[in-house]
Amino acid sequence: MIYTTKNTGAVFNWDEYFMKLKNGEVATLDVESYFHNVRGLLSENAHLLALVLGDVLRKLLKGVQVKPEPRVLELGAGTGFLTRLLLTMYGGSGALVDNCRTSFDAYNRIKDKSGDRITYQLEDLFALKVTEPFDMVCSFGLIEHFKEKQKILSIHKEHCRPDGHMILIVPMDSFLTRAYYEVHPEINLGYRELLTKKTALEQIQASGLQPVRAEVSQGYVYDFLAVLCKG
Amino acid sequence: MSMHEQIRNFIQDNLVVFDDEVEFSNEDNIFELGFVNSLFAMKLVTYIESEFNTTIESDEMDINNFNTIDNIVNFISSKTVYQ
Repeated sequence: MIYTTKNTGAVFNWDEYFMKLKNGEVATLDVESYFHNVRGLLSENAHLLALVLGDVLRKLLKGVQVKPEPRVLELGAGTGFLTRLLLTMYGGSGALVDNCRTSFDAYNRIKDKSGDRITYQLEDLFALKVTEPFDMVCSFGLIEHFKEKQKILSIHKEHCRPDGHMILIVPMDSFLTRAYYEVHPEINLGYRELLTKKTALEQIQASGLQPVRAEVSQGYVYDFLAVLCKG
Repeated sequence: MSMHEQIRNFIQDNLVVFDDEVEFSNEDNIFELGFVNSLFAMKLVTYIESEFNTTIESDEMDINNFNTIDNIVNFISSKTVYQ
């Protein structure tokens, strides 16, 4: 995409611009189509997400001894995108937990061959009982929905082996992320607190987790922050 | 086997639709066609790295490098030239 402009001065002539609009010399500014164009530009794309998230995970786990065939637990999993991607990259098995029936049904519609290595528990993650802690505990888009974050962060640690790892991913407070949520009001149904990298790391540390590395996504339709913590 | 055939075979091994429903050219956008699942892009990256003995850097993780067979082959060829 190339944008050109003949305006090289410091001040853009808005009077002239709107006069041209009024005279029909440039396309009329239709607020609704403008809004939908921006929505179209900033719309979720699972293929792009796989690449961007895959890149973030590789940077996050570079040099980290990931246990072969790791057992992965994803809290508030939705369709388990993060776990399915981790299994594609590192093998292993996954357990997804979510209390949302819609997400559970959506997962069952899209699950592929990796479904044999994944179990899905439709229940409240705070009531979750596991027989053995996991090598990796993760969440993607969960923590920002809780005003009080200590409890939800502690749950990650509770189910993680002492020598395991946690991967916490949240949408990051940035101009791009704000613009994304601004044009997608239909997904702003509950509490969502956008966190800066600094605030997220402070909250994580205050909850007794040890962040070892943090990476910010590049090239997706909103920015997200991924933090790797020790078990 | 040419690189085009090799990539086409890999895509065909990972289709989420039945083989007989699938027809795509070297210029077709495999993601827009809906023949592969949402995780395929990363699977393809891993495949290219191992099969062509190369490393795909962060700034190369651009979906336009992987969305058609032609683009994938051009991308791999450009990396091979620089190695």
